[in-house]
Amino acid sequence: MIADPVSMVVDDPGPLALVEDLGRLGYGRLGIARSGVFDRPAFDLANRLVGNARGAAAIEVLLGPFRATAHRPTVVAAAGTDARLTVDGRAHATGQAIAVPAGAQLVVGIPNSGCRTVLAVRGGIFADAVLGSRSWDTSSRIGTLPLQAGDVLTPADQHVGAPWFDVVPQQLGGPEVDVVRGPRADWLHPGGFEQLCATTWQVSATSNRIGVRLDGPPLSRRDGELASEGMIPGAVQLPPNGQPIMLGPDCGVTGGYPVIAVATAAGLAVLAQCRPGDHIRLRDVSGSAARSI
Amino acid sequence: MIHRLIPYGTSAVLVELDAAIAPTALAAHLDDPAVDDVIVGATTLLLSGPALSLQRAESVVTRAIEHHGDGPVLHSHHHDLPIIYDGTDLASTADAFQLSIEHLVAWHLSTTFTVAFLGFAAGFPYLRAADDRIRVPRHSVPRVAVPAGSVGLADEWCGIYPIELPGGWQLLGRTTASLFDPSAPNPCLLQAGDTVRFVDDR
Repeated sequence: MIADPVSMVVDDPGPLALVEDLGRLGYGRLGIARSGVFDRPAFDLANRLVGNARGAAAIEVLLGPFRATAHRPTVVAAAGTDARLTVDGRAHATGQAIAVPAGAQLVVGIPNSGCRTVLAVRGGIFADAVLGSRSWDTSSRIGTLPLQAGDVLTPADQHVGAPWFDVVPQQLGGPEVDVVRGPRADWLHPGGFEQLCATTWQVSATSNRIGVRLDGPPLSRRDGELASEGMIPGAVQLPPNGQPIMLGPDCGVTGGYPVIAVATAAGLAVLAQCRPGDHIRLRDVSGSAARSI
Repeated sequence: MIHRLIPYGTSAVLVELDAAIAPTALAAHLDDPAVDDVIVGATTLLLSGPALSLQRAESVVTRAIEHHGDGPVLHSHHHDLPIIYDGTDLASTADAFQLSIEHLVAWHLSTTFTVAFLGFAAGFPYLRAADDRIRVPRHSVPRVAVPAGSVGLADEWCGIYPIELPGGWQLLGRTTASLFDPSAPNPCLLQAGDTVRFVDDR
């Protein structure tokens, strides 16, 4: 694939800006996490807004501000949070395609609501794939390196349709994370699952793409350890200390803590947008979750 | 045989297997359009796919059980890995078994381990000894950073950290062997079914 000339240069990535796509599937047996963008619906929306093919690599901006300067005209869109985008000082909302003229500086601001703004650039971000994906896995440390000041962003050629310049109102989720009962919910003492869903949990400061730790009244569970078994993003682990951990896209593919609940796809997208200090609740949708059994 | 199938979220199924079957032996036979990915556990398989039902998972695994003896035998490689026994938990682990450090080291060096499966992190092997006398719990509070190459014990397993990671295993020493290279044709040095012995690298 021939890259077009320089499109944008990163001025300031903010706390963390990662190139992410839909991740690397099929490597679970090698212990390699799927990784990929944390908020998939926001990623899909941002790509559609700029007219990209599904799965084109985009930028996951943790909080912000993220600043970059366009060296040629480009089109961007952001989704997942209510961050304000400014192009040479002019403010725009997320949820729409925005033309960025050559020479203009783009700023993705810190959102009031949400944590990880997904920024799509028309054509997708060009980068070499590692094991089938451009995504940066923060745990195994493979993929496209986290963005730094001076990094050059070149567009790939993955635009397939016209950009969508009208604002698409987003359903910014939360503070409820939809979950279903997990495979090891029987490790909880009686009433434990109800207590999980009745508690208002606080997102711990140690949360990241590997896992989101929840602080609150400890849940009681069976003693002992589980023989290591598969883990997936959205799984709610319960370590012996009774404080749940909700796994993110870079979670270890196996683990020995019982999984008492699992977020639905919608729940995982809400989780992606939870910031340390946020209060969240888990909503049991086991009865109504779509599943082809 | 399949012991039990349990829904795992809305797009995955956890398959518990009877002790007679090594999950790894089936993993290579789980190709199916409904299965996006397979994660091997100690006694389980986790099958994922957006259109994967319990019924489909059961039929895929049943078919794998019926056919896993067919086809070419996967070649098992042996690895001798250099090790220096300077781990932070060497003394406390020896104490826990009322062994001298020398005896613990001698046990470890004399043991042939088998790679049961990879998990936890890219290229991280779960090594099983035929003799599982040595069983230790993990630390209740994991360390924030375990050095790359660390060789540790937890439960009945010996494991090796391919890169620096947080972790709770009891650390015996370090190997200089490179367990994971994403740019290599085979990114993981160790594959399920391989055997490993440690060689004193002093």
